[in-house]
Amino acid sequence: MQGDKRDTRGKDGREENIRKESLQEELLTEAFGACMEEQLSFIPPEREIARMHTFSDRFTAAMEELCRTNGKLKKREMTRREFVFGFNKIAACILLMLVVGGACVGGYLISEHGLPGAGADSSSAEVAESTEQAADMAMPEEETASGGSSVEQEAGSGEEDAGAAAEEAEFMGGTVFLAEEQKLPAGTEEIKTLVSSPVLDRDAETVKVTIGNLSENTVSYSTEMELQVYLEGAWYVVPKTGQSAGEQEEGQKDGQIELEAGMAQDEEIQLADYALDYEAEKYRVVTYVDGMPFGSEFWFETLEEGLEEVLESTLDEPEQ
Amino acid sequence: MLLYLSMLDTQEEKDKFTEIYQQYQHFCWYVANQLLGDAHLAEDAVQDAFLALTRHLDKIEDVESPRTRKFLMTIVKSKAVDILRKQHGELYMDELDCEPADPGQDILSAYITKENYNHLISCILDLDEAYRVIFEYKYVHQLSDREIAELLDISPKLVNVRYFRARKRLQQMLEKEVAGRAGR
Repeated sequence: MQGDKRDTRGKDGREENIRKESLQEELLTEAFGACMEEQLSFIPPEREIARMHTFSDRFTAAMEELCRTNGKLKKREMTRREFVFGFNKIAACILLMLVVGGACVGGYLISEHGLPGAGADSSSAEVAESTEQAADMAMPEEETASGGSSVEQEAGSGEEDAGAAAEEAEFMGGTVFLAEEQKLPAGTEEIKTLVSSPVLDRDAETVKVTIGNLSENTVSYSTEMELQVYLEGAWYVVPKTGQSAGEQEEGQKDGQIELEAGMAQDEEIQLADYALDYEAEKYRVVTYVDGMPFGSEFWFETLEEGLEEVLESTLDEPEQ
Repeated sequence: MLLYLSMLDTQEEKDKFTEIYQQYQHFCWYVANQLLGDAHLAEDAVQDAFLALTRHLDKIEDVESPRTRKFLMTIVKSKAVDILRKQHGELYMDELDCEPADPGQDILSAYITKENYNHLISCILDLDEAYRVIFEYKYVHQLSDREIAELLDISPKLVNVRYFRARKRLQQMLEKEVAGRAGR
């Protein structure tokens, strides 16, 4: 019986507390509501405020700018920390890919030829020979392109040899012209540019480039980016296809976007605007930040396909 | 304006947002300007408020209703408070380190009685807007900590911290008010 009474008293106490809390909540709601009513009563009608204040040009311009980018500007902003983290993540992925690829190729070579020794010497000799042959083949082209001028070429390889490359080349049934700048940095200590993924799927519709401003000043970059392809040791500008180039001329002109200190921004290139060769060695997106060009490289393939190709090419080489 | 529209999904939402924007843009600016005393900063607060509203349009049932007017007032006030905080270099560092107050020490409920209603009104009118908006979100608009956090762009934990600070401040004011009246 006593237990029952205690239970009833406990239950009543809890109910009383709930009632009290609910009453307090009601009182707070009512009181804050009443205070808001009072605040509202001092606010003049909308039309009157509109007469006393016209939204500034800065406000209107900012809104127009945001409208032009369809609100993406706000959405795309990310912090410096996020940008650096993303950059490190991509760098780590590339490093991992190289290590895995190297290990696979190395493992295969060891299993085929045993430990490196004389074989390695012969392969390096082969590489040297083939480089010399390539240089010999490139010389006449250079002479033709430069009209036999006596421009001295520095000995080198890869992109450094671009001076010897033809001014124009055949690409996807059209002509592409040699890019003005061959060696481009992907970034400096203060400005970084990177593509979302260095290896793109062949069905990718866009390539996204992140421009990061790690400096303490606001910089501006051009929304007009350039796509370049690496052909026979040199970079060539890939033109937009006829229709999209026409649309671009009719549509928006090259604009400059300001990027505040410590901020990053994404920009996209529509791949459908270009005739692309997925077998090309690599491509790069050229972005102009404060007038300075930066190049972010990418290529089409998947990791597995890439590794298969490396293995196939190494399989073919000994036979040749 | 189009910025906000691009973030909305359906045509119905877009129409609703347009209606709200056209009807309350100047009202919002006035409220912000009262707090900030700067026409340009007030415009920034209006932008922030409408941007926040795009994600909480579902909380507005009737555009014309006084509830909508109140809701917008609270949002724009909280955005103006944010601007003031940033302007004064208060980057909430103290709040980030602060654990929520011990509810055991919270005796505000003891003062919330019908008898003290007029004191309560008087204290609320004197209460700093930074504290007031948290109460308004919670009691007038009946939002959860998570919803408030989304609107203020802070964590729910920080909302809790601010709520307990606001309660503590109101409690101090009420204690003083009630004691003052009793002494007279």
